[in-house]
Amino acid sequence: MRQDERAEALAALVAATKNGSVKAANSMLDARIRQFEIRYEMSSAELKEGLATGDLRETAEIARWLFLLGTRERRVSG
Amino acid sequence: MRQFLIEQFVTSDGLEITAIDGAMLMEGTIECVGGIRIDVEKRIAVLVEDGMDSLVQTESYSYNVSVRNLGNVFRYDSPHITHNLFDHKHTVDPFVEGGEETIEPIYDSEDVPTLSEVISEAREWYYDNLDGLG
Repeated sequence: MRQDERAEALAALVAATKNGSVKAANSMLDARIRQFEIRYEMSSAELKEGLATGDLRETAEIARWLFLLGTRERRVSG
Repeated sequence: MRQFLIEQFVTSDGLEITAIDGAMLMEGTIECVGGIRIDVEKRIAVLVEDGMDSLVQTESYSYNVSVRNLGNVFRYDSPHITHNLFDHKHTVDPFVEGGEETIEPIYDSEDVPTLSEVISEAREWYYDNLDGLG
Protein backbone atom coordinates (compact mmCIF):
# COMPACT_ATOMS: atom_id res chain seq x y z
CA MET A 1 0.00 0.00 0.00
CA ARG A 2 1.38 3.40 -0.91
CA GLN A 3 1.91 6.01 1.77
CA ASP A 4 -1.01 8.15 0.59
CA GLU A 5 -3.27 5.09 0.46
CA ARG A 6 -2.26 4.21 4.00
CA ALA A 7 -2.95 7.76 5.13
CA GLU A 8 -6.39 7.64 3.56
CA ALA A 9 -7.21 4.24 5.04
CA LEU A 10 -6.08 5.31 8.50
CA ALA A 11 -8.04 8.57 8.32
CA ALA A 12 -11.17 6.64 7.35
CA LEU A 13 -10.61 4.18 10.18
CA VAL A 14 -10.14 6.95 12.73
CA ALA A 15 -13.26 8.73 11.46
CA ALA A 16 -15.23 5.49 11.70
CA THR A 17 -14.45 5.25 15.41
CA LYS A 18 -16.29 8.51 15.96
CA ASN A 19 -19.13 8.59 13.48
CA GLY A 20 -21.15 5.71 14.89
CA SER A 21 -20.95 3.50 11.81
CA VAL A 22 -19.50 0.58 13.74
CA LYS A 23 -22.54 -1.60 14.32
CA ALA A 24 -21.05 -4.48 12.39
CA ALA A 25 -17.80 -4.30 14.34
CA ASN A 26 -19.64 -4.30 17.65
CA SER A 27 -21.71 -7.27 16.55
CA MET A 28 -18.44 -8.97 15.66
CA LEU A 29 -17.22 -8.35 19.21
CA ASP A 30 -20.35 -9.92 20.67
CA ALA A 31 -20.12 -12.88 18.28
CA ARG A 32 -16.49 -13.58 19.21
CA ILE A 33 -17.33 -13.53 22.90
CA ARG A 34 -20.17 -15.89 22.21
CA GLN A 35 -17.76 -18.26 20.41
CA PHE A 36 -15.66 -18.49 23.58
CA GLU A 37 -18.76 -19.13 25.68
CA ILE A 38 -19.79 -21.98 23.36
CA ARG A 39 -16.28 -23.45 23.22
CA TYR A 40 -15.82 -23.39 26.99
CA GLU A 41 -19.46 -24.20 27.71
CA MET A 42 -19.82 -21.41 30.20
CA SER A 43 -21.09 -17.87 30.26
CA SER A 44 -18.77 -14.90 30.54
CA ALA A 45 -20.23 -14.31 34.01
CA GLU A 46 -19.21 -17.84 35.02
CA LEU A 47 -15.76 -17.25 33.61
CA LYS A 48 -15.35 -14.07 35.64
CA GLU A 49 -16.54 -15.79 38.79
CA GLY A 50 -14.22 -18.74 38.24
CA LEU A 51 -11.22 -16.49 37.76
CA ALA A 52 -12.08 -14.32 40.73
CA THR A 53 -12.36 -17.36 43.03
CA GLY A 54 -9.30 -19.05 41.56
CA ASP A 55 -11.26 -22.04 40.33
CA LEU A 56 -10.26 -21.21 36.79
CA ARG A 57 -6.74 -20.56 35.60
CA GLU A 58 -5.94 -17.87 33.09
CA THR A 59 -4.59 -19.26 29.84
CA ALA A 60 -3.62 -17.37 26.70
CA GLU A 61 -7.08 -18.05 25.24
CA ILE A 62 -8.83 -16.93 28.38
CA ALA A 63 -6.74 -13.78 28.35
CA ARG A 64 -8.10 -13.09 24.86
CA TRP A 65 -11.65 -13.73 26.08
CA LEU A 66 -11.09 -11.32 28.98
CA PHE A 67 -9.68 -8.75 26.60
CA LEU A 68 -12.85 -8.89 24.49
CA LEU A 69 -15.01 -8.63 27.60
CA GLY A 70 -13.05 -5.63 28.79
CA THR A 71 -13.35 -4.01 25.39
CA ARG A 72 -17.11 -4.58 25.37
CA GLU A 73 -17.47 -3.14 28.87
CA ARG A 74 -15.57 -0.02 27.88
CA ARG A 75 -17.92 0.33 24.91
CA VAL A 76 -21.01 0.13 27.11
CA SER A 77 -19.67 2.55 29.68
CA GLY A 78 -18.52 4.90 26.91
CA MET B 1 7.25 -3.69 11.96
CA ARG B 2 8.93 -2.87 8.69
CA GLN B 3 12.31 -3.07 10.34
CA PHE B 4 11.56 -6.54 11.72
CA LEU B 5 10.38 -7.67 8.28
CA ILE B 6 13.54 -6.31 6.71
CA GLU B 7 15.65 -8.11 9.29
CA GLN B 8 13.61 -11.23 8.41
CA PHE B 9 12.74 -12.08 12.00
CA VAL B 10 9.06 -11.41 11.25
CA THR B 11 7.93 -13.58 8.34
CA SER B 12 4.34 -12.44 8.11
CA ASP B 13 2.24 -9.68 9.65
CA GLY B 14 -1.37 -10.74 10.08
CA LEU B 15 -2.56 -7.77 12.09
CA GLU B 16 -5.89 -6.18 11.24
CA ILE B 17 -7.42 -3.01 12.56
CA THR B 18 -11.16 -2.58 13.05
CA ALA B 19 -13.07 0.52 14.15
CA ILE B 20 -15.30 0.14 17.21
CA ASP B 21 -16.93 2.75 19.39
CA GLY B 22 -14.37 5.47 20.02
CA ALA B 23 -11.42 3.20 19.44
CA MET B 24 -9.61 0.86 17.10
CA LEU B 25 -9.14 -2.82 17.71
CA MET B 26 -5.82 -4.23 16.49
CA GLU B 27 -5.78 -8.02 16.37
CA GLY B 28 -4.03 -10.83 14.71
CA THR B 29 -0.93 -12.93 14.64
CA ILE B 30 2.62 -12.07 13.74
CA GLU B 31 4.54 -15.10 12.51
CA CYS B 32 8.27 -15.13 13.11
CA VAL B 33 11.17 -17.42 12.37
CA GLY B 34 11.63 -20.56 14.41
CA GLY B 35 7.88 -21.11 14.72
CA ILE B 36 7.54 -18.15 17.03
CA ARG B 37 4.12 -16.60 17.01
CA ILE B 38 2.93 -13.37 18.59
CA ASP B 39 -0.82 -13.08 19.16
CA VAL B 40 -1.88 -9.47 19.49
CA GLU B 41 -5.04 -7.95 20.94
CA LYS B 42 -4.93 -4.20 21.43
CA ARG B 43 -7.52 -1.51 21.99
CA ILE B 44 -6.34 1.90 20.81
CA ALA B 45 -8.33 4.95 21.79
CA VAL B 46 -8.46 7.90 19.45
CA LEU B 47 -7.82 10.96 21.60
CA VAL B 48 -7.53 13.58 18.87
CA GLU B 49 -8.71 12.85 15.36
CA ASP B 50 -6.33 14.21 12.73
CA GLY B 51 -5.88 11.63 9.97
CA MET B 52 -2.34 10.24 9.97
CA ASP B 53 -1.45 12.62 12.80
CA SER B 54 -4.26 11.48 15.06
CA LEU B 55 -3.30 11.23 18.71
CA VAL B 56 -3.92 7.70 19.89
CA GLN B 57 -3.30 5.79 23.08
CA THR B 58 -3.26 2.09 23.89
CA GLU B 59 -6.00 1.42 26.43
CA SER B 60 -5.70 -2.33 26.80
CA TYR B 61 -3.59 -5.08 25.29
CA SER B 62 -2.55 -8.69 25.32
CA TYR B 63 0.64 -9.79 23.59
CA ASN B 64 1.20 -13.55 23.74
CA VAL B 65 4.42 -15.10 22.49
CA SER B 66 4.46 -18.82 21.85
CA VAL B 67 6.51 -21.38 19.96
CA ARG B 68 4.93 -23.92 17.65
CA ASN B 69 4.89 -27.43 19.17
CA LEU B 70 6.25 -26.09 22.47
CA GLY B 71 3.78 -23.66 23.91
CA ASN B 72 3.75 -20.25 25.51
CA VAL B 73 6.89 -18.33 26.33
CA PHE B 74 5.61 -15.05 27.72
CA ARG B 75 2.57 -12.82 27.63
CA TYR B 76 2.04 -9.19 28.56
CA ASP B 77 -1.49 -8.25 29.64
CA SER B 78 -3.11 -5.02 30.68
CA PRO B 79 -5.20 -5.18 33.89
CA HIS B 80 -7.97 -7.77 33.73
CA ILE B 81 -11.50 -7.15 34.90
CA THR B 82 -11.48 -10.05 37.35
CA HIS B 83 -7.95 -10.56 38.68
CA ASN B 84 -4.41 -9.28 38.14
CA LEU B 85 -5.81 -5.78 38.23
CA PHE B 86 -2.53 -4.27 37.01
CA ASP B 87 -0.27 -4.54 33.99
CA HIS B 88 1.60 -7.82 34.26
CA LYS B 89 3.74 -10.39 32.50
CA HIS B 90 3.31 -14.15 32.45
CA THR B 91 6.45 -16.19 31.85
CA VAL B 92 6.89 -19.92 31.41
CA ASP B 93 9.76 -22.10 30.28
CA PRO B 94 8.42 -23.97 27.24
CA PHE B 95 11.24 -26.53 27.49
CA VAL B 96 10.03 -27.73 30.88
CA GLU B 97 6.95 -29.94 30.66
CA GLY B 98 4.34 -28.74 33.11
CA GLY B 99 6.62 -25.88 34.02
CA GLU B 100 5.33 -23.33 36.45
CA GLU B 101 4.17 -20.00 35.18
CA THR B 102 5.35 -16.87 36.93
CA ILE B 103 3.38 -13.65 36.96
CA GLU B 104 5.24 -10.41 37.37
CA PRO B 105 3.37 -7.19 38.02
CA ILE B 106 4.38 -4.06 36.13
CA TYR B 107 3.70 -1.12 38.37
CA ASP B 108 5.43 1.60 36.38
CA SER B 109 3.54 2.44 33.19
CA GLU B 110 6.89 3.35 31.61
CA ASP B 111 7.79 -0.34 31.80
CA VAL B 112 4.76 -1.46 29.81
CA PRO B 113 6.20 -2.60 26.49
CA THR B 114 5.11 -1.43 23.09
CA LEU B 115 4.39 -4.03 20.44
CA SER B 116 7.77 -3.33 18.87
CA GLU B 117 9.44 -4.00 22.20
CA VAL B 118 7.56 -7.27 22.51
CA ILE B 119 8.76 -8.33 19.06
CA SER B 120 12.30 -7.37 20.05
CA GLU B 121 12.02 -9.41 23.22
CA ALA B 122 10.70 -12.39 21.25
CA ARG B 123 13.61 -12.04 18.86
CA GLU B 124 16.07 -11.94 21.76
CA TRP B 125 14.46 -15.05 23.26
CA TYR B 126 14.74 -16.79 19.92
CA TYR B 127 18.45 -16.17 19.57
CA ASP B 128 19.09 -17.01 23.23
CA ASN B 129 17.34 -20.35 22.79
CA LEU B 130 18.38 -21.28 19.27
CA ASP B 131 20.07 -24.47 20.43
CA GLY B 132 17.01 -25.70 22.27
CA LEU B 133 14.76 -25.01 19.31
CA GLY B 134 16.83 -27.36 17.17
